[in-house]
Amino acid sequence: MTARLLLRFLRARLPLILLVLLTTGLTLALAGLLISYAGAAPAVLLGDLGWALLLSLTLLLLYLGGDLLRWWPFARQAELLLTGAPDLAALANLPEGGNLDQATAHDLVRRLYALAVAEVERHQAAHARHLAFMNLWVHQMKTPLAAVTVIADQTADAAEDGAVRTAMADIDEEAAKLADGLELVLDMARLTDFAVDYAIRQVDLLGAVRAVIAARKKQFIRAGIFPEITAAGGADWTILTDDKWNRFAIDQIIANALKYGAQAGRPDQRLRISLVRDGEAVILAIADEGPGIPPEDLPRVFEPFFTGENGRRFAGATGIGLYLVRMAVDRMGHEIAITSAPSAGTTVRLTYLSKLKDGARY
Amino acid sequence: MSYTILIVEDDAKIAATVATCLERYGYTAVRVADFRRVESEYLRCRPDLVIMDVNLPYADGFQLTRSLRRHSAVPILFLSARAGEMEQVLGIESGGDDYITKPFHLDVLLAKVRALLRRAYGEYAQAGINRTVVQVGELELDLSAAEMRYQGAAQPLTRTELKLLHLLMARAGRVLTREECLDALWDDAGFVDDNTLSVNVTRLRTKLDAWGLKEAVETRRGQGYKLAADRLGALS
Repeated sequence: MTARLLLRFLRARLPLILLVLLTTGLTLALAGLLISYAGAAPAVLLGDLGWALLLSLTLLLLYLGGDLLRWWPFARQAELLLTGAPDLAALANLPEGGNLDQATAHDLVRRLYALAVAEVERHQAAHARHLAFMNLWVHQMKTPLAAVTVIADQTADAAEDGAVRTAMADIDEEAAKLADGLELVLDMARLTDFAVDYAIRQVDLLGAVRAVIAARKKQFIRAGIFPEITAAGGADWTILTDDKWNRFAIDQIIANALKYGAQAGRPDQRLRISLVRDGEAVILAIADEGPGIPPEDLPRVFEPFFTGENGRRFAGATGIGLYLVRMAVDRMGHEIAITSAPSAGTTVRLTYLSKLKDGARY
Repeated sequence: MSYTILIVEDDAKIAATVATCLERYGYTAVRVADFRRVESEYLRCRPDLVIMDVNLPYADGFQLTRSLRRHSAVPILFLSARAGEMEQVLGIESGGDDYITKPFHLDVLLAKVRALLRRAYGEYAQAGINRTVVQVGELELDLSAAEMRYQGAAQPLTRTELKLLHLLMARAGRVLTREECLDALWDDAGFVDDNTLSVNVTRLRTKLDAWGLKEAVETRRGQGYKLAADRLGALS
């Protein structure tokens, strides 16, 4: 980098150097001409010419040296910033500048930085306002939804007519979808605050799986899908995770299996959930018997808003659930893998650590 | 004497529905009308349990709970739209005993109400309300002894059979869909599938058959099951 900078410095001063050399050359030529007119040149004069040449070159070098010293810090810092990947604040952190051009550049950068900061702050405030509004709105929407749910419950409970009870169950099912959607909006907002919102602790994975299934009992029954949990090889299924976000991930995977399984229309489906120990890792596999994911869609299921072929064939795909799952799982340091074959179902595998690797810290 | 439950919920429809539901199950429900005077309403009716919404027009549920705690240790069940851990911690710290997030189901609410009352006033305190013996015609179901009785004879029931018969008897004369049966039988400890339901219905019929009551549990093809009350002798 030093050589490149030096070369650039010299190239920028090429006209000056040439000018000095040219004027010196011309002066010497003129002197030579005068000497040749005057006849033999006294040695003294020649010596003086030599001194003049030396002086001129020395002055040039001194000037260039001083210039280089003043030029160098700014140019070096600028070069470092341009070749590196600095953030906004670091980018604005330039030395004052050793000459007029550098000083102007410095002032411009400072001005730009101030503008950018103001702009970012404005957007952050708008974003925070938007989030706060969404948060408030989602929570407000839960109250009418709760009213719908309890009124449907009450009506079904009091109804003699089977058709009324079926209708109430349908209303309830749709209300549950609305509730899921609202919760997803909240989770999406929460994930942006993920850093302050999670704590890795020892969690009983089997208990978490059971709780998630229990909370979706009505949907399991309506979808005609029955869970089967196998946890062979020990009673201790302690893993290291954030309980809330881990449940969120498991719940989203199960919700997908229920959503597509119910629409696939095959009777008597199972959702096979297995816990397997692999050294210090624990693998949770959730295998459904739903429609499966076409191979060309499989690599993209974790992309935001990707719904693919199943999104076209079935209702209710948002393209958000698995994206959020991936984000949460990645940040907690778990692994997630998904395998599927069309019409043979989908298996999602989550890999956790049951204890910390030696020397590792969360 | 039945338990009095104070409902502090500003959504009129939820409050009315919850009140109706509680009254159907034998509780006395009182709804707060003026949310500026929750404390005096509490002191007036002296409830055995309070169902408390969090977002209320004047003071929020947490503040109200703290002020109620100056008077008594009454069980308080929070209803809130906020599912965050922070809110739950706040709820419990302000003196709440349990927490339900909106939207919720009435059966979950009832289960929590029962659990809180049991915890506060003892296991058998509710015997009068949630009768441990259910009767349809001459068939009696004793929930605490886990047996059914008919004309002086008794037969023990398994946990699942007990739940199934309880549901059929509570809704005697009505067709219960398979979904409704599964919903009642399925609990956190064991997930019940379609096949298990059929097996339990068959076993229950076999047991009833010992008394010549096999026909009492009717199968309605494509609909579900029904307990024919008229086949169980004279209505009590």
